[in-house]
Amino acid sequence: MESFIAVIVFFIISSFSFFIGTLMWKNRYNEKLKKILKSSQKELEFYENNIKIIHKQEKLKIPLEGLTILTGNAFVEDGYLYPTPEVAKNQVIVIQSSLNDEVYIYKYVYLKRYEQTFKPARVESQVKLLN
Amino acid sequence: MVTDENIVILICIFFFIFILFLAGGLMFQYKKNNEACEEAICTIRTQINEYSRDFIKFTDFVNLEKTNNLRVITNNAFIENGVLYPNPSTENHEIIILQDIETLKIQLYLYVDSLEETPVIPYSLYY
Repeated sequence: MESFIAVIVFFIISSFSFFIGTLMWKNRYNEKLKKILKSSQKELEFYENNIKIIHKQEKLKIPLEGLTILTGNAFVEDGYLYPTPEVAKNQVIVIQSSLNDEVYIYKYVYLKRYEQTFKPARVESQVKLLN
Repeated sequence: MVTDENIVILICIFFFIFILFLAGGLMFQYKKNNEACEEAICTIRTQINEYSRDFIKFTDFVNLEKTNNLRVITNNAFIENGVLYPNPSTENHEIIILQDIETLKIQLYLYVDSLEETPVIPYSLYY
């Protein structure tokens, strides 16, 4: 009987150790993912601050004066920015302000996979930024 | 028949079941967290790829192919003997824009202190 109890206790302890080990491994993987997520968020934030993504259906209002479209692949009509019909997919539009020489980078997005994650609120904030 | 030995066996069995449920619950929680984290990383990386495809990241200098018609728009870099160098005052993660005067084509460069910043994504995220 004593040997039977010893076997049960040994079984319980080994199972417990196995689960603790697995949990620690999972926790380590979780920490790694969190680290990657944090650095990715930081990287995305940088790009979002520097490149203004415009969905093909969105109209971006920009001031009529003081801006020069350097790339020649867009034009301003009635205060709104439009890409030229020849503009290639995802082509970058660069606009420079003649007032402070600051450069604004815009990008028209056509890809469907981006549409799923696209947030129209971003465009609104860009419009506010320019106005 | 209730004996001391039977009580010990019962306690052991209950303890084992308790540990099993506890570990299972925690494993489920970790799995759920990891899945949410992996999904968020995938979404963010897709967005980053969308942005970064236009940029050429460099640390010290870039050898340019054609420099005759190129001009630096952003004034934070200079071209010397067909090589693009950042200004000494250029900071980490600063965008340098070059333009071909004839074709008006734009080249975007991103100056970074080190190229090791891209995180290593676990293989499981690719599938």
